Formats: sequence, structure tokens, C-alpha cells
Amino acid sequence: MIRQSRRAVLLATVCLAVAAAARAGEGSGTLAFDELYGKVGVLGLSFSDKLRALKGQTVRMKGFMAPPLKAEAKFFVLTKRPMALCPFCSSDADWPADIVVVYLDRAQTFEQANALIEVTGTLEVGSWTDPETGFVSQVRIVGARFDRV
Amino acid sequence: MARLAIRNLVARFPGLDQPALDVPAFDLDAGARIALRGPSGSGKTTFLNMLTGLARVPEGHVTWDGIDLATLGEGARDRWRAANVGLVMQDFHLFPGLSALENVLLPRRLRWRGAEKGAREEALGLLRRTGVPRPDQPVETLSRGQSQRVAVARALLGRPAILVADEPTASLDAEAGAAVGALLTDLARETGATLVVATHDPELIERIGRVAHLTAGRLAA
Amino acid sequence: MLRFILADLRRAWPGALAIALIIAFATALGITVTLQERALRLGSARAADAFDLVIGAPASETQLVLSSVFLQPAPLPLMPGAVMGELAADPRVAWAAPIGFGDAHEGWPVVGTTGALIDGLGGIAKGQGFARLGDAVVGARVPMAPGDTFHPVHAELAAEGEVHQGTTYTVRGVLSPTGSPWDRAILVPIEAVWQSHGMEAGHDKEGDARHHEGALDADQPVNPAAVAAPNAPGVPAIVVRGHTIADAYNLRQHYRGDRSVAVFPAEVLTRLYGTLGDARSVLSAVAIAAQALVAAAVLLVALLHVTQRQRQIGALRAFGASRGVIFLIVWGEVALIAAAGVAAGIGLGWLAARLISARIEAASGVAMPVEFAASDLGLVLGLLAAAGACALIPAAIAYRQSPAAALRG
Repeated sequence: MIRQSRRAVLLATVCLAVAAAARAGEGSGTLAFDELYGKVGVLGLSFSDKLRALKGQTVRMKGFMAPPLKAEAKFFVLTKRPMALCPFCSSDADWPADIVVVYLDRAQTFEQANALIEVTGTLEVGSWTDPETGFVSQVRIVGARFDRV
Repeated sequence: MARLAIRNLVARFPGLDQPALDVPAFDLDAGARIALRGPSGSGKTTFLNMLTGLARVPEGHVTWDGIDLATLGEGARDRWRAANVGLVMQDFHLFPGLSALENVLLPRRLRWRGAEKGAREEALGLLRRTGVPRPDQPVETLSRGQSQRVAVARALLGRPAILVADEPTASLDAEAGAAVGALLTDLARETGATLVVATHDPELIERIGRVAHLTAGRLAA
Repeated sequence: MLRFILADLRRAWPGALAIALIIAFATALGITVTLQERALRLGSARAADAFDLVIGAPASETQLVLSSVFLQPAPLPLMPGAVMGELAADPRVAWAAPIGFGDAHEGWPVVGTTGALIDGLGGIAKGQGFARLGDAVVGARVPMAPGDTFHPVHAELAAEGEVHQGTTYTVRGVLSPTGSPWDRAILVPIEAVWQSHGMEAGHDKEGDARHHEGALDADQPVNPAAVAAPNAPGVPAIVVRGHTIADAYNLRQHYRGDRSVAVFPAEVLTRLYGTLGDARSVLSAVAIAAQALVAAAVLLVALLHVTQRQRQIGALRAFGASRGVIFLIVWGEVALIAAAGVAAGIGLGWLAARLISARIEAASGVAMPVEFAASDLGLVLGLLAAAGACALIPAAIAYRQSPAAALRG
């Protein structure tokens, strides 16, 4: 009995430690849409220093889920403004400044279109073509999970 | 091979001035046999509960071979009883759904480490010795006499040093009662166990030879 | 120890079975709600997979999607025929196909469209596509084979059984199964629909179509350019696929206006899933309440049972079983019954969802995938943990019983 309860205490301690570590990890990089790009130069947009610094790290971002193109999908577009608007229409550029593509671990259906959500995942920066859909994106959060705010 | 020494044993029930049991001193040699008589309410069951560690000793000492049950906790008394005491009760307490053999083996199997090797052979031998013809017979189909024979075999498995029986023949007819009584005394003699039997059965008392009377919690040899 | 539990269960099997069944039904309720809601979501999502963007006349977006993707008959307003021509010339468009509803054959909707949609839906499994106006391609669930002929009827007049005189189609091909309502559809060239409804290019006037019965020239070859002609008749809906995802979003924006509305079926479905999710939450709460009630009832039975068997438990103790063993026996017995109930409930719930889905599938053509997800494991583990925790209570009571007190009387 005593050995058992000691084990339980140990287990509880480990759980608390893991939870604390996870919380600390979540706090590591909060990113806002305004912080994605630096000055608009001759060659168009350039990534901001903060974005470069957070590359490969766990980040948190708040935004709106754009209306999804597919009802069951592995990805969605996160935008700065709630979306009756078009994320790709705000500028003539191929890649608008105020979107991030969010990739999930597996395909799922969505319920949160146009709702404010917070996404947590690993930041990827640089041009990448999704082999399944041919979707070319510049800034991504991968292995992501999200919750309504 | 168990010697009993009781000193200043007192048990009270809440709300009663008179103690339910008051035994200043009582001794039994190892291998001794004694019948316990007394009207109902005289404290027989309480006394047997104290002897076997089924109940806590509230005051005084019940010492078997130097082990004072008064100093043991509930778990320790359970372990001590499992190792040293064989019990036979008036209503058999066999478990339906199991065979005669499985009932004999049940107390062993319900220990953390399970039954030891050879327990099955020992149980079969005991069932033969107690005259139960079919070890695999479900106990629901046994007669009362047969049931008590299985209970006796169960009590003797592992050769306990102490054999305690509570009215073992009271629910049997004369013939079966005599047979069970004979089995108890014979087997106690064969294994050298100390035998304590609470009974009103004159034939069984005679067979045991020595009798103690319990009246209003007081013991008189 | 296990043998003792099993012997005990064997002896008391009717009661144990009844309790296990009650637990199974309570579990099945929750499982069915979860599985069925998921089947509806995944089934509808996959059925809409071929339809990235649907464009129609400004009206209800939901009705547009229900009519085009799920072939729900409803009168849709027509868009000017020029929209199709514009889309055909739009560089962002990979393919666009008009769809025209209104006819039926023995309950199977007859839909006018072009070869682009046949390819978009997954292509032909058997036979070939349209070459002439009298050709038809049937969905995988339509019981017709290449070579069969039929006369469609006006859907709204079907009750009166008015057959289009002089309109005969010949089945040329069968679509690959799509798991969508289109498996129940008969596809014909949209020009053929126009002709048979007297809506030839140039004199399309809303409202006069239904009185203007035309005759179909079945041997006239299909002319893809006719659909994109600026003076083509109006259509109720156009299915569009963009070259890229950005194109799809741009097209959606571009064609939302006074003249037309563009919508991703996925966004309509996503709104629907929100409602569906709310319904699931309510049903799940009902299921959890039922499970809690069952847990309470089972607990009561277990407690009665343990109290009733005080003497037997006391005897086990008297014969040398330790308190720990007693605890384990009682806990094991209750937990075993509960676990068996939960396991049976999972099977039962799956079976129920399968049956419900089969009925929906037969009625709508939407394939309903009844499947477990990783998240269900949490639900099942939660149920088992709750059952295990509940079993602790009778076990603790048995543990606390004194053997002497149990044997007395």
C-alpha cells in the first residue's frame, strides 16, 4: 500500500513537471500578423527578424479561420481579419501579407470558420509546395492544434 | 503443536455493565482437546472469535505458542489464522458453483501467492479420508453430512496446529453428526492439532473427553 | 482468484448479464451519437470533395449547395448564360461545368452538364462519355447499363407522369462510384436539356421555358462551344475548380456580386457542422446523463449484493483470505461485468451507427464512413476508468467488513 501511494505521488510529480514544461513551451513565442514582415522593399515583402528568429520553434498565433476550401482537410488558412473577405484578394502579390497556412497532424472537418481561434504549432518559413494540393505557401504553422478563443 | 495461554481476557459490549467475556486464566497444552458448553448468549461465539483472531482482543492476552493475538493488527491476525487455524462452522460455508475439491482448495488459492504444489494431492487425500467419494461433485448437490465432511477436509488442509469448530454437528442428523464428530476427533489426534469445539452434542462431548462450561462470560473447567 | 470470480459469475449469470446489458446500452448510446455524427460529417465532406466552388444566381447559398452537391430538388433562379462564357475564358479556372436540373427518370434525377463534370467527378468506369445530344452517363447506383434507353419526365410534372415526347436518351457510360448523391444521377448534355425544354441559345426568357416544349435531336453532336457562347441560355449552377487554392479564393471573391453568388460547399458544410456539433453536444450530454444513471443503478445493485453476501465474504476472511484479496475479488467482479458491458456497448454502438448509416446511404447516396478515431479511445478509457472507480466503492465496503461481524447470526 505504502509503496503504491509513493508511486502515485511520484507519478503526480512527473505529470505536474511535464504540464509545467508544456506551459513554459507554449509561452515561448507569441506571433502577431503585424510582426511577420519587415519593411516593404523594392523586391516586395521581406520576412521580419522576429519571424526568422522563431523559425522552427513553437509559436502561438491568434486569427480567424478562412472559409475552408475542403470540408475535410489537413490545412486551413489563418487570416488577420474575419473572413467574409478573400485572403488572397487584398493585394496583387502572389502571397498576401496577412495570412498564415496552418497544417494539422491529420485531416479533419471544421466548425470554427470565421471564429477567432488561437493556433499553436511549429513555425515554418520559406516557400513550400504542398505535394497533395499544389498549394504554395510562405509562412506555415505545422503539427498545429487550435482552440476557439 | 500449539499451546494456548489466556490471561485476563475481558470483552464488553457497549451498553452492558456485565462483561460478555471474563476469563482471568485459561491454558491448553499443545494437542489437547476440549469441548465448550454453554447456553446461547453465554459468550461462546465471542470466545471463539478471540481464540481464532477473527475479532480483536479488547483487553488481556490470548497467546498461542508465544504469539499474543492482542498485539496483532487485523491483517496480521488474518495471516496468522490462515497459517495456523482450521475452522469448521455450523453452516458449512461452502461456496456454490465450485466442486468439493475446489472448495477445499479455495482458502489456499485465495492467498496472494496461491496454493502451493502438492496442495491438490493433499486435498484429494483429505477428501478420501473424510469419505467424500467424488471430489469433482458440485457442492450444491451434496447432502448436509457430506457438506460438513468437505468442510472438515477444508479445515485440515495444510495441517493447521489449531482446529476450531463451532457447533459442527448441530445441523446434522444423529448418524451424520456422529460420523463428523468422529472425523474431527480422529483427525485432530492424527495431526496432533489442538482442538476446541463449541457444542451441545453429548456424544461429541463424550468423544472429546474434556469439557469447559461457559456461563455469563465466565469459564469453568 | 479469477476462477472464483468466474465461478461466482457463472452462478449468478442472469443478474450479471442483465447488468452488463444495461451498461452496454448506455455505452452504445454514447458511441452511436459520436460515430453517427462523425459519419455525417465525413460523408458529407467527402461527397462534396469534387465541388470546390459553386456559382449560382444570388439566392440562398445553402440551397445552392444542397441542390448542386447533394442534388436536392429545389427551384433555383437562373444565372445569365454569359457567366459560363466568362468562366470558360478565365485563366484562373481549371474547369467549369454548368448543371441544369429539372428532369427525372423513375426517381433518378436527370442532370444536364458537360464532360468536364464527368471528369471532375472521377471519370467513366464503363463505356464512354457524351458524344451526341441523345447520350447519357449514369451514376454508379443507377440500375442502367450502356445501351439502355429512357424518356425523362419533368420533375415537377412527374406525379402526372408527363413524359417528354420525342426525348429519348441512350445510356453510353457508367460513372465511377463517388460516394455522393451523384451516384444516383443520370447525366446528359446540357444542350439536350435546353433543346428538350425549348431553351435554345438566343431566345432564353425566364419563365417561358416550361410551356415551350421542344424536340431533341438525339444525333446532333455535342458542341462544347455552345455552352460558353455569350448568348447561351441561363443555368442554375456552375461547378468550378481553380488551378490553385489561391485561384479558388479569388474566384469566390470575384463572382460574389449582384449577378451571381459564389460559395465553397465546404464553408456551407462547415457552418452545418457547427450546428451538428451543437446537436452532438446535446445528445452526448444526454448519453452521459444516461450513463451516470446506469452507473448509479449498478452501484446500488453492487452495494445491495455486497451487503447480502456479508456472511459469505466474512467466511472467506475467516478461512484465511486477506482483506486485500477480498477487495480485489469484489472489485474484479464488478469491474469485469462493467468492462464486458462497455465492450459489448462499443460493438452495439458501432452496429447501430452502421444500420443508421446504411439507411441514410440508401436514401441519399452519400457514403457514410462509420469509423473510430483516436479520440474515441479517450471516451472508452474514460468509461472504463469510471466503471473501475465505481467498483471501488463496493470493494471498499467489503474490505471494511469484519469477518467476525459478518459471520454472526
